[in-house]
Amino acid sequence: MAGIRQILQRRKAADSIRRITRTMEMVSTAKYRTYHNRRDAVADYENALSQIGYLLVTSQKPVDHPLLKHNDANRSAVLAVGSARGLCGAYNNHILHLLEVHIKNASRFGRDLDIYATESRLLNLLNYRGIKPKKIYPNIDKSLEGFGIDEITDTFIEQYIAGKIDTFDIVYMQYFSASNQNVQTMTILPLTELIDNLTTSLTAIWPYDISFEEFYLSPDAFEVIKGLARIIVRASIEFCFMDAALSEHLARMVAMRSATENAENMIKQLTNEYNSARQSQITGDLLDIVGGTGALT
Amino acid sequence: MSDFTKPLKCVIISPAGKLLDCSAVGVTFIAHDGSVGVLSNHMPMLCELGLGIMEVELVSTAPKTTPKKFALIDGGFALIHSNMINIIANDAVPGWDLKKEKIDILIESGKKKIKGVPETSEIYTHQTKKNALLEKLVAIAG
Repeated sequence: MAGIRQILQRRKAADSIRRITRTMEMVSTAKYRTYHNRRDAVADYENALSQIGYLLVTSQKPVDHPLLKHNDANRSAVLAVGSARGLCGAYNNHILHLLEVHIKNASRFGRDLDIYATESRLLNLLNYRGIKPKKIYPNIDKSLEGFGIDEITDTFIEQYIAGKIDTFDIVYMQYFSASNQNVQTMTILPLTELIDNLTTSLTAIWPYDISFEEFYLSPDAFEVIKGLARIIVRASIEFCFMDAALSEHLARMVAMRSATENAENMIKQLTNEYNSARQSQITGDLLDIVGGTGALT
Repeated sequence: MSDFTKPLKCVIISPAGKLLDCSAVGVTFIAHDGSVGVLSNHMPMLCELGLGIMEVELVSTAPKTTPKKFALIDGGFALIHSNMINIIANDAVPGWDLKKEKIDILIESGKKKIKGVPETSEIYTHQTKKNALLEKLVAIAG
């Protein structure tokens, strides 16, 4: 059995860990709540845009715009959104597994695949597997403060219009509820697929008896779609990033809670060990005293 | 003849959430090419927005009064149909519950954005106009 001093040292260390993980859990909880409120607010905006998008793609005469057409470049782009910081369980491993599925599929069908990533802990895993991202964008927290999302939007819209890529996907952790987050691939381009994805999550797609043809457009249809497409793409990328941030903080919250519980269990166990070691020492000391007294009398 | 006094539903949505959802007698907003006025029974219209202060004339409860609400809108789209106007703004600053400190912060951040940007650039002109409009919004709605 370890000595009393060693047990005390270990208990002190476990207590320090418990305090740190408890604090980290509280920080993640606060951030999770902030992002959750922001996500709720953005959902209305996303729904309104999806309704216009739905109107656009259901027009009787198909609208002629490069973002609504399917390209044939045999090249795809995937943006992997990892966690900005560590200590969030298997979050990045899940993203990596789905990314590897994309890589395998691309190689099976003889397609070129450009991998992009955000500045995250995922980069260590990608480096370990020998996957080199073509470009690294600012991390999720920075992106949601307004850095990088415009650049991502413009870059991939330009590439798609120039016919350099067929699809642009984002691999991220989608937030469904506090108990359910899953790694998903969201197709951002072509726009028709994005609108299809968005409208499936709507409760009322277009509840009015009025079609796209009946609207007076100002400016003309091409310019309206150009402006609208950029807004829809940008908002969708931001929504993916928000989901990823929300899932990251939730994953860290869960990981830190279980770490705190483990530390508490360890403290309990060490306290029992300490008490039993202390009692043995007292018993030993008493026996020594009794033995010594017996020898004297 | 159409009844133009019938109220229409006005909704303003921005990335910060739903800012306004009310009944209005008339709405005036700044489109990409100028000012547009909307009364009830307006034709269906999808219009790109510009930068400017929009005005919502609310349905009055007291006689001979027309309460108004103002908001600064910076880009986006207006969708008008079925006596309903949806303003989906890229950025919006509501003129109600205005706080001078908040406006000062917005103006300061706007000035920071254009620091070092040439005065002839489009971003500079846009941001300068936006700052002036923020001050005007405080004067009108504050």
